[in-house]
Amino acid sequence: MKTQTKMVATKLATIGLALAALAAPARAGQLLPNGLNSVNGLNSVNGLNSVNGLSTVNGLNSVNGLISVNGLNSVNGLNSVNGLNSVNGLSTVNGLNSVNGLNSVNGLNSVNGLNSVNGLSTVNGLSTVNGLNSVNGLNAINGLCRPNTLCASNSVTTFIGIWTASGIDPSKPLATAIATRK
Amino acid sequence: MKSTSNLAALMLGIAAAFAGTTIAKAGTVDHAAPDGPTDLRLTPQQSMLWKYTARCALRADQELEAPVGSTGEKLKFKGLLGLAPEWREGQCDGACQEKVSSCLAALTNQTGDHVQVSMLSAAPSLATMSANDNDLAYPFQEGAFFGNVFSGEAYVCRGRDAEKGEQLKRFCALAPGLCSGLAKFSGAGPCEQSCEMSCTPLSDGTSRCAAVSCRDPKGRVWNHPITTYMRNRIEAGNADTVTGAVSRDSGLERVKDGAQATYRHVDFGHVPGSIATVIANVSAPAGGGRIEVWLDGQRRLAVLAVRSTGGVARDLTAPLDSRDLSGQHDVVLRFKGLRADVRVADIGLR
Repeated sequence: MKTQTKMVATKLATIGLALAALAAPARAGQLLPNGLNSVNGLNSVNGLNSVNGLSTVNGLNSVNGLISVNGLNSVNGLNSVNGLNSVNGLSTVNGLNSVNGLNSVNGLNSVNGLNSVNGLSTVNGLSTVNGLNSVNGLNAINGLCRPNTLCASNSVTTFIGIWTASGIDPSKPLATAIATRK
Repeated sequence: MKSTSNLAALMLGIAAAFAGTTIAKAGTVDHAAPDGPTDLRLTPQQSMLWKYTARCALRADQELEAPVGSTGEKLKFKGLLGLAPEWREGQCDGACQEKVSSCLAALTNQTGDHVQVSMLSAAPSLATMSANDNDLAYPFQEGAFFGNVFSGEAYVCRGRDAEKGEQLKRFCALAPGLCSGLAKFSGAGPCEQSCEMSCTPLSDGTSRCAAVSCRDPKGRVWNHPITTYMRNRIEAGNADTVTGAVSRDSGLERVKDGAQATYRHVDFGHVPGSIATVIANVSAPAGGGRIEVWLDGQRRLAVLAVRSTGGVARDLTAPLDSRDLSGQHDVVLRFKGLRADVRVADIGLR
């Protein structure tokens, strides 16, 4: 475990990131970069537990075993993410190729160029998706609004409101309902 | 019973109504024309809801007429399937609501693309929707739709060929959550497990299996499900990318020499080399030129010679080299040497 920690720390150091993180040595098997501003050219991250307050990630090739990401603003050029449990507050993702085993995403604003998503259970608050090639095993997307698809909340009252607004009422004859439509 | 699904357009409209924005994407927004005109009294989205409700509930000899709008245009919504004709002059009881709901859910398509489907039912209450030889061209079982959209519930079980929906741009059985809009869509698992099925043999030795009744994830039984079957043809107008032609619900129109159309997730089956022929339904006023079929844009699989069809739609076929090919691939059509613009309605692999 000690060796592994050293190795990760070395990688971070080579890209000039370590600064705050190295000043407070991480415990074996854990690395908790908080308040980190940007990551560039990093090839892979393995066994990282959480990332908080990271602003941007560019050129990262893969992330494995990361449990949670909070407050990340944007990710560009990331190739794949495996085993990530949750993402909160992520604003945009561009060029991500595949995501496997991600459990939930909250507050993500947009995804561009994502090729495939497998095993994702729920997505909340996602605003736009462009160029997504395939989605498998996704259970639900709530609050998604995009030009060529629906935009409806998860609220049953909202669904019923759709019918109320249209004037279509099962308790009234259709001919009467359309004739009195105002 | 054949129909065309694109109710996502309806849901799009709902989105516009809520968001107060204009939806504009060619080929996906059905402005309720020509058989469901719009009017200031009804938003385009609400018109579409009326259009599809009338189409599902009323018979072909029934229609609904709204008051004349400010433009003087009469709003008429024609019936088609006749699942609840009594609703025109009376109330829609529970069974009526479930039958219409199954129809609306079955016609929902997350992408907004128009896709021809066969709607079948083995439920006693939907006896007019039993399978016959008209269903020979619809071999792929997508799923069964049921629920009550008027109370916000829609369910779909996954048919044995649901994954074929990707190449046809039908996704509700594959990813039910993406289709919420009329109601909250939920998956009910594989149809074999969640529904009682009844199969009808056809003259070619195949059969079409439709749901008699289905259970939702809470165990409630729904007695008016509609099972959808899909064609072995890809609607040409639903290409993922197009250059040099116009995508319409009716197909690829005004296809010019040098045009190109890409179709993603085309299914070559589980067994490598099992596809031997490509078919394209083409209208060509003049012969000459060819349609090349490319795999992932890098390997030419087939060449269809374009002959004059006299302007009417005809199937053109050519051998297709699918050695080592199985699973889903992107297919690119390249139009070369055309002497006149052509129209392609659909393409198929067999």
